[in-house]
Amino acid sequence: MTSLSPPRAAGVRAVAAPSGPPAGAAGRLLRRLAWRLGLCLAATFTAYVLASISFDPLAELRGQQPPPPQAVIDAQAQRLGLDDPVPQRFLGWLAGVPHGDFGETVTGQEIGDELWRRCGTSVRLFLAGSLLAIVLGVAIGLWNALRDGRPSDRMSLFASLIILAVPVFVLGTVLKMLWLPLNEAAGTQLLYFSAETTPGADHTGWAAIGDRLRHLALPTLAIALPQAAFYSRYQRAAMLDVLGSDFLRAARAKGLRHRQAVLRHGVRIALIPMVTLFAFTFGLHLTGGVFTERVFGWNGMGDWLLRGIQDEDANIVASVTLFIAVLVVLAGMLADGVLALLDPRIRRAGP
Amino acid sequence: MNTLTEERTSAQGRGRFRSAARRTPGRPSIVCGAALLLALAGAAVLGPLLWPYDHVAQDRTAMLVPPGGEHWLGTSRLGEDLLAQCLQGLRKSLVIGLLVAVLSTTLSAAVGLAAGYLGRWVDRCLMWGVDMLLILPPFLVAAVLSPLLRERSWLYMVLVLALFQWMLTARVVRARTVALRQREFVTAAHHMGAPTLWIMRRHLLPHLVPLLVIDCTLHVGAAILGEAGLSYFGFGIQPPDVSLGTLVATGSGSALTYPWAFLAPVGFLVVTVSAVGLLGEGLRRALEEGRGGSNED
Amino acid sequence: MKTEHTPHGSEPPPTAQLLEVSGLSVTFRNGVRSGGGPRRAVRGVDLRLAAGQAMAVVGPSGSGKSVTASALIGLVPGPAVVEGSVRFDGRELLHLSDRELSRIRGRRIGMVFQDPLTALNPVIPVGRQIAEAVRLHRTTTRKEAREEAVRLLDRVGIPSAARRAGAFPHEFSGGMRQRAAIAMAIAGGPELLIADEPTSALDTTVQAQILHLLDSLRADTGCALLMITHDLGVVARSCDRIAVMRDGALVQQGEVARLLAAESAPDGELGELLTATRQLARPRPTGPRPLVSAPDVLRVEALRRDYPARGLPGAGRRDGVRAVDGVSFTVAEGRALALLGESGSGKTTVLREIMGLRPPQAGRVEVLGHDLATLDRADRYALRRRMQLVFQDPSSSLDPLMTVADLIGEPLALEGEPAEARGRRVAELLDLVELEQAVARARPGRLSGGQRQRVAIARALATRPRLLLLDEPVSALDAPLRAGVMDLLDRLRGELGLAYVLVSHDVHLVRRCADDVAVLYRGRLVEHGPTAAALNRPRHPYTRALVDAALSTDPHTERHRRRVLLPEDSTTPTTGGTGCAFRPRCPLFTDLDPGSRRLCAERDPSPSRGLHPSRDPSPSREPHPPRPDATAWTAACHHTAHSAVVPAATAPTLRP
Repeated sequence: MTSLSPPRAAGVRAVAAPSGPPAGAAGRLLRRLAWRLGLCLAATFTAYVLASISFDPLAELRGQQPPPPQAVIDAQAQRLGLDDPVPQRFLGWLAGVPHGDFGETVTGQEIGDELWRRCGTSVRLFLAGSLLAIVLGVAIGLWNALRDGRPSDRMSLFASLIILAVPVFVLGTVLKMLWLPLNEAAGTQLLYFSAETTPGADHTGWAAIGDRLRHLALPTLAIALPQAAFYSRYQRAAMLDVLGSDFLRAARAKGLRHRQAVLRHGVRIALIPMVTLFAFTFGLHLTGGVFTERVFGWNGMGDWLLRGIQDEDANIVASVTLFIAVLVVLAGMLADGVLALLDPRIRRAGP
Repeated sequence: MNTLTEERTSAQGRGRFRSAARRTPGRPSIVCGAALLLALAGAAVLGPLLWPYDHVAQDRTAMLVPPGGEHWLGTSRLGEDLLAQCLQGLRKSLVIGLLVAVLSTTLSAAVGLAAGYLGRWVDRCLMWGVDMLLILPPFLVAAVLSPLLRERSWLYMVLVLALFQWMLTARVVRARTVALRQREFVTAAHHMGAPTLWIMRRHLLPHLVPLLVIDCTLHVGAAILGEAGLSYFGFGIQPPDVSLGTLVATGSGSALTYPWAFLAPVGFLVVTVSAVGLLGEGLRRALEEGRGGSNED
Repeated sequence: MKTEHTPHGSEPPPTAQLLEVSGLSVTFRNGVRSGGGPRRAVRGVDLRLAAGQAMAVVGPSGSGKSVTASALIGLVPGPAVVEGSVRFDGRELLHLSDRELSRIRGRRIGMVFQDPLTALNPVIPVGRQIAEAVRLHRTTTRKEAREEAVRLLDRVGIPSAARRAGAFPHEFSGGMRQRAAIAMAIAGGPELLIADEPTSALDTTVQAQILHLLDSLRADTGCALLMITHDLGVVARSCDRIAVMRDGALVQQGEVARLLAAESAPDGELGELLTATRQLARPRPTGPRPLVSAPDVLRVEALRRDYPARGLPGAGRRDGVRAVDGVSFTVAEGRALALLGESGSGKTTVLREIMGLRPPQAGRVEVLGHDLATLDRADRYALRRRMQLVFQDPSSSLDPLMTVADLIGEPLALEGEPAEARGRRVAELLDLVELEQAVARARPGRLSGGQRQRVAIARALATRPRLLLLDEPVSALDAPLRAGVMDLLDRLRGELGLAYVLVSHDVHLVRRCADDVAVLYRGRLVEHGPTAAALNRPRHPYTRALVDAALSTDPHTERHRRRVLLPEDSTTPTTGGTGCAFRPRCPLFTDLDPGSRRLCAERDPSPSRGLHPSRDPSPSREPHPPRPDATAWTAACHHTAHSAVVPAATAPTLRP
């Protein structure tokens, strides 16, 4: 299944005496962290550079009728620091980040303040959606693998293909359309179609939580469904690999029933490749969150990113990219941790 | 176990594609997907020639007509015939999808092969780049670049989509290449004195073809969705050009009141992308499972 | 149920059968894996096994023997229809539910698989996997189960079992893993143990240990054994009855003592197998080639190669893994030298160092008179043509997507030879390796193993080389095919005046095919000399153990000879170590007095000529050397003189 001996040690029987985790484990984790932080910075830098090249924040000013005097335009350019070369602007922006200073928007507002507010909104939405997606995806994938080739497996394949073919922004709208008759039948808003809370409503305690949940339900579903469909396909394939493996037969040969063998030995192994996949594709799935926020009118980071691009504001784009990158890094570290739990070979083996 | 290995090996000897065609574990999927795609492509190419309405003609006497009658799929807010619009949009979406898929698959094959076979610092550098691009959502980059691309040809958008969609495949290609590199026939070629490019072309690439064909198919779907997302938010195809994305965007405003203007392009989009997905899944089963794991893994 | 009939062999009394199989058929359902329509892997097999008996099921690969074994306990891999009857202790097993079968598996029938690495769960400590098996069959507390697991590990011979119970499968060596798998199989105290090629993946000395373990377990518990194997030596050593399978059917069965006896010549499938195996084990009829003063094709002097030992536990920070250290030998034109050793001995590393044509880390390698340390690009290119490598497994060394013509022609295509000339040469080469011309259009997957290896040899000969490096050239083939390929190689050597370096772990093969032998242990050359002398009267205790572990097909010899079992040494050979590397496993060392032991522990033995040349058994057959280094017989042991004192483990006597 896996080749354990690296080519350099081939022919040399490398047998390890069991011992505690080697001191290299912590160092390895630190190296991974450094690698990821480097990626983080590089991604933010790339986004900043691309945005600075692409955006022309003075266009609107220039296009005004009557045209504003050149001095006004120059002043704005000066305020935005457009005269400096792009890398220098980036460094200037980056220098402020550790102090919570993410620069100003084109219109002169502090980014930092708004960032934290929107950050919470997005994380809440995306976390709920992703958790639901992982649980659903893994469960469906495992179930399908065990029912390989039967009608339920085929139906599930078909459903996942369709879900993956529906763009997230459409999915949100479709969910609304499907739910609309239910709301109408109930004569009240069972689930809300937009915003985080009911504006103006002054709920407290359980009522407030209930209100939030009723707003959260549909967007969470919109985020979760495509991800779940995606994960389920891969989980199915991973589990099928495990089901055909020798050690599962060996586990049954020692007296475990099929179901016991699958649950005690199979599932854990089948989850290992999924953790890596999760880390790789986390960034890609974040796009779904952006769309969902817009469709459901949540004032999160995704919504802000779209607005930043429309306003041609490089600072907003860089801040949101940094946010995304940090999330990806956190997801990666989480994946590393889970992987080490699932697969002790990673903990024990050298780097 | 011995018997199985033997059997699979002999199956492979018949030539991958012929044996795949004979057994084709995923044949229903391939046939359905391919037939649907061909029908859609045919409609997209021939439709505008046969259908009496032009996609930009605005009929002020027939605005927001529901489906049926003369306008099979109804009309838009401006009185444009939706079927004509959808066919035009489909045409653009399909072209973009194909171009992006071919470009990104080529790129991922090149990067994956180089990283996997050359190893060492080439591998480290390329994989660092791949990891970085995996952090940047392709949508973000394409949207950020949209002010630059707005005045230029849509072909630039194809380029941007392709540039940010190849990374996952490249990673898989790299992993496969690393596995292939340890196989003895590659070592044998190396010992024969075969140059790197020779080995890549003659011994590595042929083994990656099934993977690349499958991923190329799936990239078509991803590209169509990516374009639709960009256009939906106004970062993609610009009027007067239409794509399925712009049509969905126009229709979604009134989705709850005049659903057909929304559902018609959505229907085309979903059917197209799921047909591509169906084809891809069928190909995966036919090529990957039928390829005989004994020699491949 | 079908009426019973046994094709051959004597019938044991019908009572007291532990296992009765009749009309067993396995048909793989129409699916991806079966490649087209339904495929019958096993057709109407009848078997009976009495309590405490040991039965072997042999047959070439693809004969359905493994599928039969797994069908007995309902674990056929993949979707399949199993028909017929399997009665165990009077109870029909075939139509039991998974729940009912699970009470029999492990508790009454244990199973050991071929590859213990894939049969153990890689992410759970070995001890816990065994404890799980214990808890499945006995009501015990977790703690008791853990203690029982340690006892079992100890029983199967794993040193410091309590500590090793917490290790993961990948931290065990191959032999230890198989021991752990056996511990797991006997956890429920089964009455029948099914072992599916339990030693095929292991070294011969380790194989000897595992077979010994199985024997002693049978003696202790009285359990019956059903052993699937392709090796008649294993059958002769450990089994009472033998059943031969071919194409899914059982074609022969009978008593091992009678069928395999030295003077017997059974007919049919078993006859073929036996003849082929005996033929391979017999020294070459022609004897070593007379030595004329042929030029040296390859000279290796004090070759050394370390690998970085990063992450290997037990290795110091600056230590490297010693793969090859101080290996010297020469090969003259027309001669064949064998590098004999087990996995980890460094024989493959030596090949790789020669084949790589790069300056060695230390020492000197000279190919056709060119020192590898001073090669430039053009030399290297020219030398590549003159020296070719044949790999162990042709199914992986031949690109499965290319046709035979393209494969054989590739070295020529690389030299820019036009297609037409290439075609002619390919035809010539196919003739040379005794293949039909029609093969040229086929892909390797459609050929038999023997044909594939012939294609690989033809490819190696395409550029008219003078030196062939053969890396275990027949060990991936079934026994009947081996002799053919070895005969071909022998013939080619004579006709084309080639020199061979043959890497092998198989004493019989080396004895048959090589003029000289170099025995490697952990990267050191322990014994080097003319094959006939060095393998018939080995001086070094390791060589002696290797020769001793090689099994003959004669049950009488196998059951009555004294065996020297080497303990396992699971450490990694690092550059930091001192003294004789073989010391931890050396049977001689344990008999020595402390003073002599100190010598072994402190000083690295250097290759020395034998002290008692008079003891050489066949001085007449040892040709007189024109150069001293060509046939000098050396052994790297401080106590070669002693070795004669220890009762000799002579080479198995083989009567034709």
